[in-house]
Amino acid sequence: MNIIVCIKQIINSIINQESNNKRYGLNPFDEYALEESLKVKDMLKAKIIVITMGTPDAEFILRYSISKGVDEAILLTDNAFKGSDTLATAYTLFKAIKLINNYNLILCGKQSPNGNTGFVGPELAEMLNIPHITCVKRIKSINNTVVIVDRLLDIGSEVLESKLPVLLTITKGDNISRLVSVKGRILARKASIKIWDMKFLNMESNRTGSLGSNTHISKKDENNKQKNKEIFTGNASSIAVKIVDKLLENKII
Amino acid sequence: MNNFLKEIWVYAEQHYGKIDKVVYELLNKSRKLANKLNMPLVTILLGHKIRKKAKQLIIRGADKVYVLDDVICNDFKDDVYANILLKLIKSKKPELLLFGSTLIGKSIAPRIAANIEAGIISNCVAFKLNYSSKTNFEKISFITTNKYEGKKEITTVTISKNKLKIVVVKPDTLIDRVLQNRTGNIIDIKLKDNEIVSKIKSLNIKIKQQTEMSSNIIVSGGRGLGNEKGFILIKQLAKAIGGTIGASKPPVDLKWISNNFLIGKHNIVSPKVYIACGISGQMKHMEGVNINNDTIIIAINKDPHCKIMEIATYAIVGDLYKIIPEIIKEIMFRRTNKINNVYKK
Ligand SMILES: Cc1cc2nc3c(=O)[nH]c(=O)nc-3n(C[C@H](O)[C@H](O)[C@H](O)COP(=O)(O)OP(=O)(O)OC[C@H]3O[C@@H](n4cnc5c(N)ncnc54)[C@H](O)[C@@H]3O)c2cc1C
Ligand SMILES: Cc1cc2nc3c(=O)[nH]c(=O)nc-3n(C[C@H](O)[C@H](O)[C@H](O)COP(=O)(O)OP(=O)(O)OC[C@H]3O[C@@H](n4cnc5c(N)ncnc54)[C@H](O)[C@@H]3O)c2cc1C
Repeated sequence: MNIIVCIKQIINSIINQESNNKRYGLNPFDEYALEESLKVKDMLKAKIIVITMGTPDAEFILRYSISKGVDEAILLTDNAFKGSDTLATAYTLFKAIKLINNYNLILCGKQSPNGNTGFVGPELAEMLNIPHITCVKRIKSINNTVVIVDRLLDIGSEVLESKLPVLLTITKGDNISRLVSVKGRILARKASIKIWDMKFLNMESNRTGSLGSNTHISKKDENNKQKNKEIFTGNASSIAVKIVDKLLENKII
Repeated sequence: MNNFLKEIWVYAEQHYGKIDKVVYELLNKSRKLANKLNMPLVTILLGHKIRKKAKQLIIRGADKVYVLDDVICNDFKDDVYANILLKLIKSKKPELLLFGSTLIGKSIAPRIAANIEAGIISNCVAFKLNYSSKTNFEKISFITTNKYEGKKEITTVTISKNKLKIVVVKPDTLIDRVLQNRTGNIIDIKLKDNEIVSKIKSLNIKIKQQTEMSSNIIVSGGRGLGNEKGFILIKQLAKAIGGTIGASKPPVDLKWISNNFLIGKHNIVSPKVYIACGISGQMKHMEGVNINNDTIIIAINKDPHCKIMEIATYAIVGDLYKIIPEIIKEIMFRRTNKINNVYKK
């Protein structure tokens, strides 16, 4: 069984107040995806490859994955990848997976907190011409031909069986991340990370990065402006009079 | 893909014959856009035993409804739905295609986008037209929102020329507006035998009890209620105001109220008015409340410094057990005295 897990680095702005450093970390949904892949490896003979497209410092999340039990890690990095929208991201991952060319199962996170689209997984599946299932809480069972999963729906939940290969996007289930062993830590330090650039992937520059993107961000605002906030304090019955005035004013009642 | 059909398409999501509320909001929003651009508004309805629902789409703004009523669409399957839509889209080439930001919309829209190399936008809340170009899409931009680490970001996104535009629209108002005297065409589409086959099989499906939290006014209770009796008060306030109830996680964990009322990431609500009683407003809870510029948040809390008080439109500082009964009393008082004529039932 060959499993590929796509992971993404995110910036936690839990800023260290002294150094003002941004902290890099792994998308929490990818942490769940990683754990699901490791659970499969616990059950049967499997090889797990993680790939990420990102800046060179994304090496950190790759080594972290190896410390948890992943076998191989690939970093897709090139200045030309910068500014990729979801389709350009998916296409770059697709080219890398085509090179690996040997997979039964692909796992992605359900979404990632900064772009928050959740599009990359289904897009990648379409490019690879394999089925996909989003919002999977757990892999219930798997063999060399089929996988059975629990997936969330807006209206409830469902147990689905899919033929392999399939791409799953993983959400939180009981996939709490395992602890790193001492051996894992050593392996992670020693592991060699494959680094692939655009040329290696044999890509046209108009299919990745901002050049290869069909969507363009033109303006970004952070909206923290306080609406005319009002504070009510004091005696309960006088508060009630004032707030009911507001309810009427806003045609709420 | 060039030479697009000048039509706006809306995917009419349904679950076992029931049209999702987000579709009505989408129709309401896109009807206005269609009028401005002078283009037909078309909806696609896939399902089983759903043909009679097509009328519901027409009276809410659709000019044309494509219906596929087929047993293969009974259960939602990502690959089946995406492939059927793809066939239709490829044969007609509409320029703008809208999906609701539901689990289903977010699963099939990107799949379609990848196949036809469209531009795809997520978390859209509004369309912006440049009026000098009223008759084409070139100058349309999309306002999107995203919450990142508790902060709301608003981003304007555009799509390259000559690309089909797929936009996944976030439900916010859940406005359901029925229009007067509307007519439209219903066009049946049929599949050939074995035209669509799925690699996915449903083994078992559990449908959760529908909660009535899609209401415009939600009164929620949190740990600050102190015990399960607190929800009696919450229900009374909801009844007086004409809303429904909700809860944060502690009351659910403590079994004061059923899990169906939990508001959070897995149960996102979009009320116009959110009344949080004894809720501190932590991120895990607020992830479940879609807030836009018009949302009114009323917080009743003892602690003037907790998070919910920071974001509240009206922050009421005090003991909820003293304040809520007074508010209910005051509402009743105004009703019976008709002091104010503005109120509507
Ligand atoms: C505010 C904002 C709005 C945006 N809006 C849009 C938009 O409307 N349309 C659009 O096309 N793009 C948009 N983008 C760009 C988009 O966020 C990036 O393309 C990003 O690289 C991938 O999308 P995501 O973060 O949404 O990933 P998601 O699709 O949410 O991520 C899901 C999973 O895909 C995999 N994955 C995603 N990125 C990588 C990666 N680099 N390497 C390996 N695996 C990965 C991971 O498994 C991840 O868990 C936006 C970006 C921002 C910051
Ligand atoms: C993995 C995970 C997932 C979670 N998912 C969710 C989720 O989906 N939804 C969710 O809601 N939470 C979720 N939580 C929990 C969340 O982090 C918070 O703990 C929770 O939302 C807090 O609930 P609360 O505001 O009711 O309680 P508290 O934070 O304890 O706040 C109680 C408030 O009541 C006030 N108060 C007390 N007595 C009175 C009184 N008599 N009158 C007025 N005010 C009073 C206090 O000042 C306080 O502000 C999750 C947590 C984890 C770890």
